[in-house]
Amino acid sequence: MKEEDKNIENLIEKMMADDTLQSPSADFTSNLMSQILVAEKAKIKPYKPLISISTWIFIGVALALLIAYNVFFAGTQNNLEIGKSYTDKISTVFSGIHISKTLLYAILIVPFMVLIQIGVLKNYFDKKYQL
Amino acid sequence: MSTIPDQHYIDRILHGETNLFAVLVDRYKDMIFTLSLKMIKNREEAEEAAQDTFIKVYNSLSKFKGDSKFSTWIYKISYNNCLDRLKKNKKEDFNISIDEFSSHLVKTMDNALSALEEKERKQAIQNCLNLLPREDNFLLTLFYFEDQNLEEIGKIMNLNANNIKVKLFRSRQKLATILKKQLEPEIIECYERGR
Repeated sequence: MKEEDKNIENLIEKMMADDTLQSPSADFTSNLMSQILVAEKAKIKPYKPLISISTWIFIGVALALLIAYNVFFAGTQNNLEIGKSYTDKISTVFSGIHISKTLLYAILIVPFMVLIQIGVLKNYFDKKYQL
Repeated sequence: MSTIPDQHYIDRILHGETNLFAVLVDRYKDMIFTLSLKMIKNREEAEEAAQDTFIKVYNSLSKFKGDSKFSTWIYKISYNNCLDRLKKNKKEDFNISIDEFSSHLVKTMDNALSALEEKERKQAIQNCLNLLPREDNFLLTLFYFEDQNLEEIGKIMNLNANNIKVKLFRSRQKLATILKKQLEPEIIECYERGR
């Protein structure tokens, strides 16, 4: 290396030693962190029901229309002859089976018990896996 | 504080401890801000750029594989971020033609600079650095403030180590040229005293 280059190198080194690192404003880190935390929160998707409200409304309206149709029209205009012979057969198939009243009550009680158990079990597991 | 390696924090941040990112920000904010300032030459804009850089770093933290130093990686992000900003704002860079220096002149400049009072000297140096082209300024800061070797600086600025060496040589000469212009009156004084 030429002598003047060496000298320039020394000179610049001296100059740079006098230069100091600059600091950003005092609330730089807190500003930045609040921005990052906001962005991070936005990433966590809010709870979204599987069946949206609009779908529920559609289902409700469709159901209401069906019931209304049945009540107001199906009763008077009896032009649904096609399935008639089948429904007759179905309604007579089970006529040979007789169920005692005790058994009937027992069968009716089972779903109620299941419904109660769902609640109890849900509570139990919620408590168990609570954070 | 600085005894705990960056990678330890990076792992924990990636496991959901977002708040720990503040530690890394505090560690590097001065350097990132200074580098941005050297490139953009405006405090407010440089602060915005530094903030941008850290947000980018946070968002791509999972992509940091540890092939290089963490500092090298974030300086590269900062450099590219500043270049993008400058491109968007279409800022013109200064152009400095390099003067020839005799070794006697360099010594005289050195003496003239040393003769200044500390406060004055620092101001003169700041003025010179402000007139230095952005990339030269960025390069000198990286070279003198960080223990980054030529290889690492090359990674940051997308050049190979040899190119950096040449660039560094030119940057020094450019800065010396600026200093010579700034010190003109003092140099004449020194010459006269030397007679």
